[in-house]
Amino acid sequence: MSRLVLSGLALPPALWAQTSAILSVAPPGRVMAKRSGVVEARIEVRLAPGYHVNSNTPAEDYLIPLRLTWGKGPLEPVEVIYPAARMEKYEFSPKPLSVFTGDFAVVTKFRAAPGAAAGMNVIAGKLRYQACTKKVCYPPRTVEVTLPVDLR
Amino acid sequence: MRTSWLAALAALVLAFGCSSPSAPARAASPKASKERKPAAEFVLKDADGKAVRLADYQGKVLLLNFWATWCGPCKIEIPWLKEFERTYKDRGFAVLGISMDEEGWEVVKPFVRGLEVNYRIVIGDDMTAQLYGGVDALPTTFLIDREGRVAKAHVGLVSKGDLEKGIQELLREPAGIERAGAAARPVGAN
Repeated sequence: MSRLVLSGLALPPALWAQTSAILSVAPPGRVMAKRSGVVEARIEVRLAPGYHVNSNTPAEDYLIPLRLTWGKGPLEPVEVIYPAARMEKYEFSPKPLSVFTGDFAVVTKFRAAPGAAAGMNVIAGKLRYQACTKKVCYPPRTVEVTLPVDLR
Repeated sequence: MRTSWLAALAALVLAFGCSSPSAPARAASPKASKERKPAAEFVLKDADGKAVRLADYQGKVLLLNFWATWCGPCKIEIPWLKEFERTYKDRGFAVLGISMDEEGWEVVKPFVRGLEVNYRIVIGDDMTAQLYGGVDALPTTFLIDREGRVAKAHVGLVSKGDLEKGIQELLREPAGIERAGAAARPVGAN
């Protein structure tokens, strides 16, 4: 198993894709994959201080979860692994909410898609999130993520 | 349409002197009468498909609440708004909720039914949001006086007491002036 490790915390600010003032995604590095086996891609996300997004498993039905999805490409996702959520209490909710804050990473395990051609390619992903502060919420947004893939 | 939300929000802040979205909304009385600007006219549809206009509320104090079903701070305000509607409707007050849910009535109808919302709800759009200074952060609440002018804007969750204080102060103001020019200029315009 090969693994892409992108040290998001060490990235200088200019390397973070400034998708909004609230949430940024670091451009992922190239994934080297073989036809057999599983590879991991790590998507580094940075939330501005004071903001949170709902986790992938929000505590309330009405909340919109964070979700990373991938389109078709040379690799197909096996599993998307979200970080451990924090349970935070906010004035606007009677019970703690399951959220992500600060810097976190979403890891996807991929395997080669059947019939995928070897060589350089990309997979397009979408990170959908809905952010709030202690006092306000912002409409759900989607960040496009492009993952370079080198399939051998 | 929402890519310029920062600029629009800045316009809102400039127009109304609101705090930043991450800071608590400022508690204050409504603006002095001479400082108020006409609220922008709009036409939106309620759950029955009936057109709802700002002009329908001529002569009333109106609490205009931009909200969404996915917005926790909006949800906690709903029982307060229901209570305001009940308590003050006979004194010339109304609440109008503008839902910014992109999925529209499909998600809004069951939500308001579940919370037994007793005030009118319409589905908003980006154009309406722009008319009101580029509303993006929710909840955003405008208190509109009997003359159709914006007396107070709150961005974000405010206390029930602050909202009610504003309503009561506006209800105490003398009524009877026509809403002339209420549709003349959007509130976000300088």
